[in-house]
Amino acid sequence: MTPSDEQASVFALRGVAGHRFRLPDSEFMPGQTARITCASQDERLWVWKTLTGVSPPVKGNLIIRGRSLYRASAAERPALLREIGWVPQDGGLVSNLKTWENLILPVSYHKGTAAAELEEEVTRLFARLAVTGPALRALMSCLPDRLHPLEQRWIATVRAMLMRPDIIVYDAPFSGVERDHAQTLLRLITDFHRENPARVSVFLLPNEPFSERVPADVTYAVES
Amino acid sequence: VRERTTTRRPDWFNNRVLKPETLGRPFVNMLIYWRGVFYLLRYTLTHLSAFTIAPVRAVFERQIYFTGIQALGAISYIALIAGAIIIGQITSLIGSASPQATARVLLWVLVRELGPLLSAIIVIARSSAATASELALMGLRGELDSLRRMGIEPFDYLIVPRITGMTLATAAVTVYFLIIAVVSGFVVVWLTNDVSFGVSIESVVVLLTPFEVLMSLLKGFVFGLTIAATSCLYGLRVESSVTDVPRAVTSAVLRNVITVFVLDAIITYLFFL
Repeated sequence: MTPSDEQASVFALRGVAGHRFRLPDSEFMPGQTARITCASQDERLWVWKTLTGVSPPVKGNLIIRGRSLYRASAAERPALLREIGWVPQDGGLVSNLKTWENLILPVSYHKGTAAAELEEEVTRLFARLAVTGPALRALMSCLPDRLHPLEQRWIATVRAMLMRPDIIVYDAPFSGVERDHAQTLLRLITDFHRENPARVSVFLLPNEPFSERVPADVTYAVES
Repeated sequence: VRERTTTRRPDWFNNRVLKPETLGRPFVNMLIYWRGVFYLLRYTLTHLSAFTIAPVRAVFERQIYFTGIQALGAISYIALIAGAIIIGQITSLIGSASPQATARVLLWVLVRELGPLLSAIIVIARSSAATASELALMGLRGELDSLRRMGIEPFDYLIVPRITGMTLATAAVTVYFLIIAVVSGFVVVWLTNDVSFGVSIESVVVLLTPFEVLMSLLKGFVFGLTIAATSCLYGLRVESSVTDVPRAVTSAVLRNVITVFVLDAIITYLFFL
């Protein structure tokens, strides 16, 4: 890899390895869609925790815009993590906040955007998921514990999209979801990716049939 | 060597309570506890700039509402009953002829001591358990990691507004408690012993110096800080299992009650004795 490539990649994995698993070296270029395929739940969980910095690997580096996540100080880390939109499989919602408050939390925290300014955008995104009118209003006033796992995933996806990140990482977004819902969600994700030509979308995908349908420029497999 | 040491020990030393390991562990735990409390208080003090962020202010407002406004019902009932009992007892002890003496004892007992203490106990019963369990469950569910992932520092978002909100609410609740207790007490005395309500209140107002008011506020403030920091500390310590949650909640409540009484004794000793 040349220095110019290094500058061009917005997100890179270098020799990331744990006790049992290893991620292949990878560079994610602007506009790229990438799949990281995992053979087991253990692998997927390890990759997710490693990428998000919850469990740093035994060795290796995760580079975000030229800076190492694992070598960043506690003060620098939030700014680095903020560069990426994270969509956890379980939604990662805050349990004492209603759906609407969960949705707007990161964007109002980091960008100071007023709630009223986000209503239109949230309505538009949920309309793409066929959630509108009274159903949307009911959804917005729910606490996370009352939500279906699919709804939690929708909310996590929309929450990440509201931040308009250049890099977005999805953790098994189609696992355990009916095919129709998975298709709808995939369309939303694909359109969101196309909105910004520089956007990088990374999917952590388990070994299941729908994973093959996820379009990707490049596929990496976790090595055991 | 062991035998000689054993024989040299006095009988009280072999008492279970005074075994070195039994003596040592609570002492170390207490040091760890105070270190944690001071860490959270220092963090809060040095991160007040987090209030420029709207969601942090929302958590702060919610905390004020929960600890202060929602507690007003319970505070009113207890203040009403406590005021009536205490002032009734003072009047029956001193007699109704000397409203100044009643007012003086009232200041000593209710305004200086029982008011701040009872208010703190109500806050502990309502907010300490709730805060500790909420934070513990958030930690167990991975919500703190989720916040970090979004670039939100959990201490800025969860701890700073909770500690400040609970502290201010406790001080406010203490003042509210005192007003209700004093007024209700004198109303009861006026109705039962035919002592003029106006004269009773006037004698309290004459004796009530800004120092007395400040001391009650100081106690409310200090108790609030300690209750908030202790509750957050015990909540954040839970990391591994759901079974740790009730243990953390019970420990937070118990530790808070003990600490509040100890702090009350220290403040009283420093300023009034």
